[in-house]
Amino acid sequence: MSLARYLIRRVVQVIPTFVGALFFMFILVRVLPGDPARLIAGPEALEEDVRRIRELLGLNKPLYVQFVDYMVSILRGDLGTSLKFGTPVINEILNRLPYTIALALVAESIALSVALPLGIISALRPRSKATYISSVISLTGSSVPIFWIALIFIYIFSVSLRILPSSGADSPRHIVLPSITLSLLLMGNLTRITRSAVIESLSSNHVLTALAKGLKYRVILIRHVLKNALIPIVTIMGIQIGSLLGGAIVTETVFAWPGIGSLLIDSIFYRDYPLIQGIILFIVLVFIVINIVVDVIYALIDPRIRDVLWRTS
Amino acid sequence: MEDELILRKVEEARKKRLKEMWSVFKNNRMAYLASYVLVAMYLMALVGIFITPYDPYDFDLSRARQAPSLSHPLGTDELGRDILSRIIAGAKYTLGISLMSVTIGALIGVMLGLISGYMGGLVDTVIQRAVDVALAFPTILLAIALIAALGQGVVSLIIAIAVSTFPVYARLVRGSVLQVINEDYIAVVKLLGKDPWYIMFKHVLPNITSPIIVQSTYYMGLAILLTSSLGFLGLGAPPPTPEWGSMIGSGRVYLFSSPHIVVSPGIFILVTALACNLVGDGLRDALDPKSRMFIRRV
Repeated sequence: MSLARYLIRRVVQVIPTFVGALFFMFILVRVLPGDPARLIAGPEALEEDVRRIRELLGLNKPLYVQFVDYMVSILRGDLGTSLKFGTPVINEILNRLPYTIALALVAESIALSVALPLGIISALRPRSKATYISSVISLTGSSVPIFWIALIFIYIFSVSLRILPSSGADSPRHIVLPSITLSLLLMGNLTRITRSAVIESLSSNHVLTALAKGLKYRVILIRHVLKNALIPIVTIMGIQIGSLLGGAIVTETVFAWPGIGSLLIDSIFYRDYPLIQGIILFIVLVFIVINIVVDVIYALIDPRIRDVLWRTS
Repeated sequence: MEDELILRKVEEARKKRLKEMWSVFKNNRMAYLASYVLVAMYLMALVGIFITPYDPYDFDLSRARQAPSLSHPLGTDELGRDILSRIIAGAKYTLGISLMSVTIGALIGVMLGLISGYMGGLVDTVIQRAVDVALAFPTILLAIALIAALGQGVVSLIIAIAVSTFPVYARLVRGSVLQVINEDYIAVVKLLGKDPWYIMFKHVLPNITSPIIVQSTYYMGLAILLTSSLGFLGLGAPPPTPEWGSMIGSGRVYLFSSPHIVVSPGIFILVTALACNLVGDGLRDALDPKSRMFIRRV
């Protein structure tokens, strides 16, 4: 019950943000490029034809009516028709989406499987090799240009060693290089947060209590320390969705991975405005929705928040 | 007489604090070293065009894609241009664009954050909802959206990155303002009936500069990566500009036969961004150790 109410409240809270994002895109696509009717008709078209196109597209109506029309059509799932493919924009996005999801999931798993052990070990053994490695990874993650490291990977693994393909998505092996590249973007922060979360959790009162009670070290570590450290880790994963989506745009382009990131860059070069706008809105919506999901998970695993939720119901 | 004494004491305390900060920063070896690297890079951006061994734009297909040699230490690119000369001349673009956009983004963000935090009420709500909208876009996506609308070019690149960086400043500054606004000294100047703008700039802003400086150092690194990523994607500085990311973008076709074209500009991007992050870490520990939890590298 209470969780449902919490969910509804969070969704209501983000509605203004999403409408704001729609308004921003509306300004970018409809107002900034000048007269869209003239753009479509071409520079040599007669004034008469331009006027007819303007009426056909509803561009002669007042701006706020246009915005409402625009919002209504988007809420109905109609993102317009791609100029290049001639198909509905939403279809193009949905066709490419599974590739981006696969890339993001594999990258996140790689990042987690390195960051969690490394963060935990470096928290338990300060001044060890693990601490040193994790600080190097952390710095690398925020300093390496990922398009460049992608090219270096291609040179090492595809050109010199010839063990992995450099572009496309024809086999499972094709996902290896792009997902490792993308995971580098996430690994650093994830390691750093895991480390500080475990350190903080280790010095908390209930861990001291458990130690005083004489519980086994291993039990304390799993049941108390790691469970508590999970909260900041989930939070940072939510924050990182932005880097993940942004990084996917660059990574997909370098490896010709057919997800929505490379579709976005292609559509910019084709000046396919409906497609550009559709993909950007779609990514923003995904970003907002995932953040709500993370908030809910966060509420579920943090006993303090969970209790408040139960009580208010 | 007494006033003078107080002023002198205040001045002495200030000097002492600066000295302490400097010694903390200096003790962080990596950060100290990185600050020299950063200064060297910016000097290169400033005087680059006068010290290039060759003309960075002079192309000659007969010497295209030569591997590094004594006459061309980093080799030549796909049009036979000297890569070292292009990197030296290109520092102006990569670093200049980043510096300009972070400065503009910081100015707008600090302004909005100050107003938002100090005024509160409806103004605060309106500004924060606008910031929410900007934050709903992943950073590079916001920049790409703006470039798609404004068209390609150095000016729209600067606008795009500035717009992508301002919301975080607005949040950060608003938070810091809310922390100092309840201090006694602010209450006193308010009672004296000073103009709110005067209080904001004369009394609030000087007390929250540390987090702004630290954030800006990290953001320089981020902006360098953004500028070069957009250049690489073909959405940044247009050819034949020797912007480092654009150099990698146009050289990547020849990755299989001439990897040297993409390797060296990337190393310069990496080293500069790394230096920004290290200096940022050092400054954070020296200026504002409390902020460790709140200000992160991006």
